[in-house]
Amino acid sequence: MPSQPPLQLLLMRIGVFHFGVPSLYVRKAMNVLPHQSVPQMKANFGGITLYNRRFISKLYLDSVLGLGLYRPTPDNVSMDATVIFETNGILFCSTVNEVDTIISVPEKEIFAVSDMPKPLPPVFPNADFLLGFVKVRQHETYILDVPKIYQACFVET
Amino acid sequence: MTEQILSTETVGLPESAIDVLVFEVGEEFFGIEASVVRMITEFSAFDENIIIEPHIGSIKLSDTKIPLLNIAEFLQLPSTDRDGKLSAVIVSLEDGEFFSIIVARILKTISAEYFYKLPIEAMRYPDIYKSAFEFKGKFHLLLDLKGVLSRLIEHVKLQGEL
Repeated sequence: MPSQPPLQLLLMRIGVFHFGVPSLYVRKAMNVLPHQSVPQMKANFGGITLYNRRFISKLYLDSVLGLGLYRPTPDNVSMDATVIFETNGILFCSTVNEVDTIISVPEKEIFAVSDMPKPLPPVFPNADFLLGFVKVRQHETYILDVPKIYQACFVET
Repeated sequence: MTEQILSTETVGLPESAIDVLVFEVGEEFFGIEASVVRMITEFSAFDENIIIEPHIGSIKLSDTKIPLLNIAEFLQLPSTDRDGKLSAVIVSLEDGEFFSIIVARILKTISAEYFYKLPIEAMRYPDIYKSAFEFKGKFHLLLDLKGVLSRLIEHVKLQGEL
């Protein structure tokens, strides 16, 4: 069996949690884009953002992942960024607390979430939306299942 | 005309200008196409010709009672007024039926040329907004009153109030 090519992951952080997003689903990462609220959006959406001369929806990823709202203390230097995702032909964005680099991860270095050392912390990203985890610079970095997030937030609600 | 607005994905393409009535509901500005507006009347919450309900009340004009939609409630926005005064915007759509909406205040009618498509895939109801338009350097939502009316009726029916 030929081995899978390495997975390209964009590294980012939400609160204390580190995530990797398959680069296939990332259109762009940039400085925080302002958004405006829109009444009667689906759950977990915070409004709309003008990107590339069109409005796209803003998804609260921390809320989708069950992390609760993370707010940096006033002393912190904000490294917040907006990440533009693309899946199923739909663009949407989320604000994260930090965007790092893109790394290449061989398949053998990706582990199932069920292999995480137990017990898991009380606040932990919703495993339904994780493809697995990989160790990057001593951090467990959770790989986001973007199509599943899309399905749950855009289609099933 | 509606289809033309919906098909505009980005701002770059100028449409023929459309008059938009801009008003305030719950401290937010919204718009509707001015062509559907038949009359605007100011009232106080104590006016005996007005029945304000959480969703659909009524307003009596001459001898005719017409539905009065509480869109602030529907949009889950705070109900605001100006010194105890609200306004009812009376509209009629293609089917000729009249109804009205409660707004906190009327700002003005503008001629809008550019309409931005909204990401309806993220909307709870895909048919209550037509697009976004620019007014005073900010973007605001152009309501689709036909969609708002049908969603409100659906909502009220579900609650057994109709």
